[in-house]
Amino acid sequence: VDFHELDAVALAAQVRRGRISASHVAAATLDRIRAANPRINAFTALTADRALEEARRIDGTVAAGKDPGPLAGVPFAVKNLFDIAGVTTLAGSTIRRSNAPATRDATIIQRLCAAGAVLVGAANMDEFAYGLTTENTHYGPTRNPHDPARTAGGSSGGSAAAVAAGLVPFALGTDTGGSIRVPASLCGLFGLKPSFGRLTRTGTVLFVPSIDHVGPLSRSVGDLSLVYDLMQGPDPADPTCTGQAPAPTHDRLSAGVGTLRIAIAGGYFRRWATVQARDAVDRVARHLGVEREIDLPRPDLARAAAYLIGAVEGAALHHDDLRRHLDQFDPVTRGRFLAGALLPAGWYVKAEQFRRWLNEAIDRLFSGVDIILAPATPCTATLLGQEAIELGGEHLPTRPSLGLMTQPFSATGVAIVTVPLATTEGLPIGVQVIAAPYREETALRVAYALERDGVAQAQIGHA
Amino acid sequence: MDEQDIDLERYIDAAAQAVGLTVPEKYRADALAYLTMAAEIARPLLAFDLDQAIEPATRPGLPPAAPGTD
Repeated sequence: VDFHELDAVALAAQVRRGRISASHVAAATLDRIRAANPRINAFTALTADRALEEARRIDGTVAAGKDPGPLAGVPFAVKNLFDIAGVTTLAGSTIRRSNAPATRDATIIQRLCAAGAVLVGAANMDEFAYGLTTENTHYGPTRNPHDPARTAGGSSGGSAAAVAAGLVPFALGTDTGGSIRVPASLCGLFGLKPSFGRLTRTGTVLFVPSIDHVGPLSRSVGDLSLVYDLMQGPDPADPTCTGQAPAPTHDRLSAGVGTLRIAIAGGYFRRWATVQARDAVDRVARHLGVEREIDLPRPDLARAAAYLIGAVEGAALHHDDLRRHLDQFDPVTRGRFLAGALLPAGWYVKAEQFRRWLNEAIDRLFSGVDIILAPATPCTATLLGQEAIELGGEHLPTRPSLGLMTQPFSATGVAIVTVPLATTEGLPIGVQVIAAPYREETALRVAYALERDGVAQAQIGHA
Repeated sequence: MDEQDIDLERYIDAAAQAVGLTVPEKYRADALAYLTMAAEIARPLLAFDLDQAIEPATRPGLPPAAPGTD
């Protein structure tokens, strides 16, 4: 088997046993990225020198008979809003291009590298994470490895495309309105949006401080859970990061799902879904023996609240940029940031009051159910530049509508794993496996069962 | 005037001036379009009946005090 097709767990096992060198993996991965990137535009920077140096160190550790870590020699990429020592953190913008390079890695990168992972580069994204299609005017659109005429989703589109093209086994993204879940769905990957506060965000450029989450995308649930486990831990430097002890998941994946109470999200989530999206949820439900359908508490308003909170907080973080560098904004985000800066404070407060109501409603909901199933996107990958999609009998603007299924959960802090299914169109689509806050293990166990039984599977795109 | 019925054409200039922003003519239509969209999105939320004294939640739900097992 070509090592590019191995998941991180299998590849690390090969490196740890000395069957393949980390140096070979790093060099071959960099060559493969250089060859593929002109087609898919997943990467905005490579960290070649660093990767080769880290790989040599790992090979030395293996040769010395010492433990190189559970991710020994595994290459990975990060969305370019994560600080990488020696690299300017762009966050998809040109405004930040003249900033000094970061002096240290984001904390979460430090944790992965301490486990033996090898960072190979920074991935493309929507400017300041404000988008769901990675159609970045400054750095070009990222293309879907399953069909390069289509979007990879966003805003972590470069990360998703890098994994879906088989360039790296996993990558890191962030999720505010769906920026891990949407690209995972459109690129046919597993993606984890952990609970709010579960993973440290130190060393990342924030978009919406009260909604941002960091998390992994991968081609296997085993990788998703292992990487998640290795990133957990308290961080006094991040006031949102939990002080709770890490809750490892990897050793519990096969614990079974038989006793779980699972339901399908109905109403809104059926109305706005295409046939492909509904069918994907139905296939998952049938396999799990689920017939129960429930209505979530006002998903339309939950989406509206997340939108308003995002618009206001996002604009507030860029107020100085809006005053001084307005012309440098991506035309795709400029109007949205300007509008967000001008929204009445009362709207924001009402959105946060609704969030209180929603939090309590979600708590009540999860007292009677362990897992909720919903589409991750209303449709499969749309064409780059496509202005409208037809959903629920209405013509809707493409970019915001890709978040119809993810945004209702964004401000709630629940744990969500996106699992990939094939469709009759030949393009993948994702299903959200949603658990209560801090119940990542439950969602990952369901995802693992679906993968093990062949219902959900990631495929490498060779377009 | 009801909060949902702001005159956005007038509001955009006054609000921008108040917060120290300039909205050049070349970007005004785009900003106004998104402001209009935000107002449409806000309308049903603003109309949703909540106790006025409800404390805003500044972050998502807190983790359970003592995580249980499934």
